[in-house]
Formats: sequence, structure tokens, C-alpha cells
Amino acid sequence: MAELTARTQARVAVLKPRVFAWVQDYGVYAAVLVLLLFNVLFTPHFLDAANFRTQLVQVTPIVIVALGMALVIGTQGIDLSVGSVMALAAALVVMYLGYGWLPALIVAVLGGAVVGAAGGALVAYVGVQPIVATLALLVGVRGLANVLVPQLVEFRNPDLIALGSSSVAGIPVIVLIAAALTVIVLFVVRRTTFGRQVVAIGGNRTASELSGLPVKRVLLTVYVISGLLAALAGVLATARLQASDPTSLGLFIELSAITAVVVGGTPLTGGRIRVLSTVMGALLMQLLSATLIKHNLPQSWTQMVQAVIILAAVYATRERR
Amino acid sequence: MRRTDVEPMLEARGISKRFPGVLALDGVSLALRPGEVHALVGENGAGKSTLIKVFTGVYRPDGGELRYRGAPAAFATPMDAQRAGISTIYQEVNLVPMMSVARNLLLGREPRGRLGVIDTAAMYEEASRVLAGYGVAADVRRPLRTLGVGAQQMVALARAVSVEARVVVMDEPTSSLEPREVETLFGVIRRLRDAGIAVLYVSHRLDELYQVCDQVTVLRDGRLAHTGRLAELDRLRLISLMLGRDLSDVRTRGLTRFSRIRHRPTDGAAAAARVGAQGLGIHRGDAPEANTPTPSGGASSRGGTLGAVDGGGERDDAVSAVAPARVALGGEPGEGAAGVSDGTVVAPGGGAAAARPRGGVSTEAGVAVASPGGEAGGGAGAGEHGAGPLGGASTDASTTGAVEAGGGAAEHGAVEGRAPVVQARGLTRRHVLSAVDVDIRPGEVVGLGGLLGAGRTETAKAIVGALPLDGGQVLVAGAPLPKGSTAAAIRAGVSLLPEDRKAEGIIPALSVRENIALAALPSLGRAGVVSDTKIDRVVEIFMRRLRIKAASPHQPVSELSGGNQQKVLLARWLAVRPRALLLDEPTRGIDVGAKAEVQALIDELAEEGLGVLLISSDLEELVEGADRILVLREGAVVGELSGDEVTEERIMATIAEQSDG
Repeated sequence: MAELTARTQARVAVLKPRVFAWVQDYGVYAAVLVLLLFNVLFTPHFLDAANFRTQLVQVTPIVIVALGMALVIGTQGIDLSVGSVMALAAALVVMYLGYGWLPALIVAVLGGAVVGAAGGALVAYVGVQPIVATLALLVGVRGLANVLVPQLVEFRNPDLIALGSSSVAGIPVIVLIAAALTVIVLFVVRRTTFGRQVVAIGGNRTASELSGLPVKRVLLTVYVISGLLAALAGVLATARLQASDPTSLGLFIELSAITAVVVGGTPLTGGRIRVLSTVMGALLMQLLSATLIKHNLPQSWTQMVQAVIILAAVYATRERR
Repeated sequence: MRRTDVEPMLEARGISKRFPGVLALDGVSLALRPGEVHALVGENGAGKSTLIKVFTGVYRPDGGELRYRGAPAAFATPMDAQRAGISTIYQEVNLVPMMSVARNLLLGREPRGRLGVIDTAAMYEEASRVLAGYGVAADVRRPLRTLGVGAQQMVALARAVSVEARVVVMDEPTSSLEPREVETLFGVIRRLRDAGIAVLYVSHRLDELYQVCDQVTVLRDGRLAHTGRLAELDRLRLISLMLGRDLSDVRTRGLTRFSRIRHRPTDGAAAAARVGAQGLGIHRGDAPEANTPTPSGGASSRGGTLGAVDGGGERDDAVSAVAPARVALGGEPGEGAAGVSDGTVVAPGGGAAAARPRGGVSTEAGVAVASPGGEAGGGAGAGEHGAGPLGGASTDASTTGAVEAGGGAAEHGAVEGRAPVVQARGLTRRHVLSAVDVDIRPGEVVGLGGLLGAGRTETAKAIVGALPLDGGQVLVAGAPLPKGSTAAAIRAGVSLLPEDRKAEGIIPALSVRENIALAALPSLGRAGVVSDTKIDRVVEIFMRRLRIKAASPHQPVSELSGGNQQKVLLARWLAVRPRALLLDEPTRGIDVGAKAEVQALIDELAEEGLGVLLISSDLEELVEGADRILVLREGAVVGELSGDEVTEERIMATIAEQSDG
């Protein structure tokens, strides 16, 4: 009997790390699946296409921002400025809308890249801690956006409105854009020299420097990409709102993005980037709040459940060390 | 004359301390007596810092007894030890830089007026008075960080002493001091001694030890190697104790001359004949000035020539070619297979063994003449492609990889006559390096000798641009390297295998495959997109060639043994086809088998024309591995040994020489 218990314990001891590894790798997918199943069974009208579309459209900006955030976190950094970059992009896009939607979009995205470059330069070349550098930008860039466009401005450019509201084969264009960006970032991380270097630098910066990697340039680029993606998210969100609202657009989105990355299993200590899981993390949080709302639970409940999930995710990523 | 039978102030009796996997201290005893300066010396990992930490309450010993002022003592925390009167001055000044000098000096003991408010006037006055006694004349109101490092150290010292210390532990206190400041420090130490305080002084600078210390304790591998009066111990003896080399042993034993074959298991004639002299093909044969490698060839090459995998073309495109061929040698059985003469491995009659590449560089073809096969080796005739010492070099550059070259040992002179691949000139950094010159020639292993802290690691880092310099220049194949760019050094063909494998070498979260491919990534793809096929090929080649034991290339490198991790790092560098490799303690912390493999590999690489800089605290390894040794002391080259001078005894003697004669 005692022997049997011992054997069981031994088996558990062997099994435990594997279970943890599995939870860490696929936990997000499982959680999303469970929530979907729950909703299919218990939430009326959940399977309606309209409902799905709403959920996806709502989560799109978070997904796009989180893609950039995942890259930054992969280098042991963090980018708090993304929400403000969205606001700046919203301001820039309406300011230059007179030249047509495409030039306006380009200017807005370039603006985001410039902010990203500023943050990246502070981190890579000046040596400011990422949280401090991007916190400064979070405050300053939001202010700049408000100076450029002090209050909400509605616009009537049909092309930009179409970008935000049209669909292809029933799928909203902005969702398609987010999907395309996910594929691109996935490709960059997995298949490019740059992507491998990002992960290596996050894993061991000193070793990367001694291996001749262009550490500073890679860091700078990562923040530029994060800025670009955030700006694009800002333009898309503005297109959907059909109004530019630099005062409140993207408020606290940095926290949602970090949550998505963390819940997706990317460790904050760097050296690992999980792109698809990050998208799943964003979907999970969206689905969770939608589920609780549909079941008439107050917002405060959602927040508390989210907190539990974040802690669980962090615990899971910790365990493997 | 101080008596040594005075009751010790602080005493360790048979202290043991175990960390997971290591016995850091094994029954070490040390007695600090009042009014004595006691030197504690030993190489890296000898257990000095562990012992200090046991004394100062950071660690609790696992065995043995700590006695303080005649009674057993156990310090739970450093604070306890400090309250009891044991003060420590660490290498890095541990004060609060932003607070005023006076606050730092009197922290926690500030003079207070009524209501418990700090009496600043009294505090400043007290601080000025105390510091004046240490030769520090500074405005005590200013933040500490405005003082020089030396003055800061004095503040730390003054603080340590003023808390009524009975024991002062100094861990390399002079490492960042100017000579004048060192003098002041010694003055203070003598004053402490005269005041009956026991001082434990840790330093690697022998001159300092002999100037200021009375007693000495030498630790080695966690054990007590020696303890006694310093004056009775001459420098050479002290160094041999530290390095663990017995002088008489070194004198009597025939010098185990460097043999590339000796490391291999030799088990009868068959084994001897199997000695692999595989061409590694790590060279940049396509570079215009490159020395065409003519790896050692043997009589009958079973595997044949693999040649450059990618076939010449663009420099970065040609994946390092490795000939997996094992060259069969018709050698004599046993270790005697390698004859030794004049510092050069000469092949035995039957087949060519270690042939250093000959000639090659077109510019000096006239100088670097070596016999094309046959003279000593008597192997097959000279190879067809690029193996000829004179002509083939600059013409057919794409023949990297193994060439079926005939045997023939390169004369030592051939190596010496070759233009250095790396020329470091006047490398200087304050307190660390002073005007260090290093030349590394193709096919040569240059050893760096010296004690810990002599500047060996720093020299290697400076060469690859990983250490900011105040002066000096590095030339690779005659072209100056831009300062401070490791990437540029690697592009030019100079790579560093760092000392601290975990912190500076591997990227633990990544797989073996990713770790190997890391430095060569830009060349293993097109337009920034990596080619998995190319990576797989390179990884496969090197894993097999270096016999890296891993479950699969996708296993995280952190799960590998130390030896295999080291091989992964070597593979990382070989994959970028360097001209020179700087190896900082390449065999530290790896098991015996892997050690021999790594050493054999270093030999082979040199034979194939790679310039190697070897840093090792293991004197035997240094002597056996290096053709020439530069001895460093306190950041300067104090001697160069070559030929017959490369002996453990000479290295130690050179280290021991008095600076300033």
C-alpha cells in the first residue's frame, strides 16, 4: 500500500513539470476553448455572427498593440506609451485627412514610429529603463495629441469610414488587418534574423553583445515597431469611431496589451515571444468580459476574474525556471 | 616582534561550507590576532570570499567552529557581526552616494540634539575631525559621490573603524586606488595594527602583501594550503602555493611538451592510427588576404574531401565546411607517436600528424616557406588545391575545407615568420590595463599567464572591443578595428569565448541550435530571412564534429552539461569562421573528458591556421597548450616566454618578479 502511494507520488512528481509545461504552452488555448464552450451552452444568441463580429472588432486594437508589446517584452522591456501613440495617431489622421485617407494614415503611422524611435533611443542608447522612458512618453505624447486636437472631431471622409466599417466576406476589414499583422509578426519572430536576435537579446543581453549582435539597433527597432503598430491601431480605432478622440482613445490600453502578452505565456523576463498565444490572451480577456456582461454580472466582477487569470498566467510562466 | 601565541581575536576552526554540488570550504582554519595584518590569498574558487562571508555573518558554516574573542560565536546576520566589532570593506564601496560625506560616516550614530533632531553642526565638525586623520580633506557637507574613489574608500574605512571595530576585513581595497591613495591606506592599516586591531587583507597584488602583511593564509580549492608568517615565504613559493604547483615537481618532471595527439586516447596501434586530423574548414578561404588553410593531411584520407558546402562565392555565403573525414594515420602505437623537437610537433615516420598550415598568405609567401609535404611527414605528395605553400594561396581561394595535403610539419619559424592576424597595441584602461601589446599569429596558440586580477580577461575583452579603453588599438590582418564594437571584431574574424559561460556565453532559454547559429545568423539566410536548411546543416556539422551531446538540436542549451555548453559556444564561433579565437578559461568547470576534447580541439584549430589566445588558470593546461606565453601582472605584460622557456616554473618566476626590480 505504502509502496503504491510512493509510486503514485513518483508519478505525480514526474507528471507535474509536464503538466505545467503544457499549461504554460497551451493553457490560453484551453481557456479560450472552455469559455467558448460555456457560452455556446449557456449564453443565448452567442453563436450569432453579429455577436462574433462585435467581439472581434472590439478586441482588434488590443491585439494589434499587444503584438508590438510582445516584441518589446521579449527584450525584457515594456512599452507604456502605446495608448498615447494611438491618441497621437488619431489626432494626426484627422489633421491630414484633407490630403486623402492614405497620406493621412501614413503620416499618423510615421508619427507613431517617431515616438517609438524616441523611446527606443532612450532605452538602447541613453540607457534609461524602459518603464521610465515609455512612462515619460505616455504622459508627454498624450499631451501633444491633445494640443493638436483639443476636442473630439468628427470626420466625413468616406474612405476612412469604410476602412473602419466595411467587411469582406462578412469579416470586418480591421479584423482582417489584425490577422494579417499577426501573421507578419509571427513570421518576423520565427523566420527572420531580426526576430531571432530579439529573442536572443532578451534571453541574455551580455552574451548577445559578445556574439556581435547589433543589440542597440535591434532594441531601437523593436520600439519603433511597437510605435508603428500602436499608431495603426489608433487609426483603425478612429476609423471605426468615425471621430478622432485624442483625449480618451487608447486610455489604459497598455495594460490590456501587457495582460494579453502575460496571459499568453510570454515571460516578462524576456527571451521568449509567443505571438499566437498573445492574440489568444487578448481574445480570452475579451471573451471573459463579454461572458460576464452577458450574464449580467457587474464590471467589477470581470476585473476580479481577470486579476485571477493574470496571476495564474504569471505563476505558470514562473514555474519552468 | 609580535608574538603569535597571543589569543586570537577571531578564529575559524575547521570551517566547512557546502553549496549545492560544491564543497566551498573544507575544514579551513584561520586565526586573526590583534595587532596583526593577515593576508588571505588564493585563486578563483579557492574559497576566499566564502570564508570572508562566514566571518562577517553572511553565511553560516556547515561544520567547524567560529570563535570570537575567545568564545564560540555565531553571527546570524552581517549586522550582528558588525555590532560585535567585525567591519568589512568591500571592493565596491558600499555607502550611500547621494548622502553627504558626514552622513555616510556617521550613519546611524549621528550626534543628536534635543527632541532627537540631528545636530548637523556637531555632525559636520565630528566628521571633518575624523576624516582629517585619514588624510581626507574634503567638504563633508557635499554628497559622497563628489569624492574620488580613493577618498570614498577612506570614508568607508573610517566608518568601519569608527564603529569600534576589533576586526577589519578588507576585500581588495586597492583595486581602484591611485598609488598615492594606496600609500595613505597602508598608513591607516599600520595605524589599525598598532591600535591592536586585527586586519584580514585580501589582495592579489603581491607587492602590497609584502609591504603591509604579517601573516598569510593560502587557500586552494576550498582547503587550507598554507598558513604562516609572510616574511618566511618567498614570492615564488607563495605563487606556487596559490597555483597549486609543487616547485620540485615541476623541476624534476619532464616537461609535458605540447602534443596535440597526446590528449587523445591511444589504445594500441589501431587507436593511434585513428587519431583524427580532420579538417575543420573554419577558414575564410575566400577573403583575399586569407591564409589558405592546408589542414593537416594524412596518408590515406578515408572520407575524402568535403570542401566548402556552398562553394565559394560570396564571403558570407560559404557555410563553414567541415570534412567529417577521419584521416587515418599510419602512426606508431601509443603516445610516442608524436615526436617533439624545437617546440614543434613533428609527425612520426608513418604519416603526417600535426602539420601547421604553411605559407598561404600571398604577401609573405616568400617568407613562410615550409616544405611541401614529405620532409618530416613522408605522407602523400602535396595536395592539389591550394596546398602548395607558395602559389596556390591567393589564387584558388574557394578551397576551404579539408584538402588532401601531404604531411610535413611546419617549422616553428614558419609560424613566427607569419604576419600576426591580431596585433593589439598599447591597450590601456585606468586601473585595469596599462599598455598591453599582444600579437597572435595564424596557427599559434598564445597563452596569457598571470594571477587573478592581472588583466588577462580584460585583455581578451579589450581585443574584441568589449571593454572600453582609454587608449590603444587593435589591428586585425593589418586593418585597425573600430573601437568598442564587438560586432566589428567578429566581422573582422576575432571572437571571444567568454570566461563566464552562463552570464556571458549561452542564452539559456534558447535551443542548442539557436545558440550555435546565433553569431552566424546574418550569413545563414537571405535578405534577413533565416534559412532553416542552412542552419540545420551548420548545426548538424558542428554537433557531430564537436561531439555535442544533446537529446536533439532543439533541446534548451541550459539542460546540457557544462562541457557540452562550452562546445556549443565553440561551435557558435567556428560557425562564423574566425581568424583568431580568444578563449578565456575554456575548460573551467567542465568534466575531465570534455576538457580533453576541448583541449584537443584547440590544438587542431591552431594546426589549421587559426590564431588562438588561451587564458587559463591551470598552469599545466597553459604550458601544454601554448606556443608562447605572455605573463601579465597588474594589467601590464611583464614577460614573454617562448620555446623552452614555456614552463610552469618560468611562469611563476615571472609573476613573482618584483615590480620595479
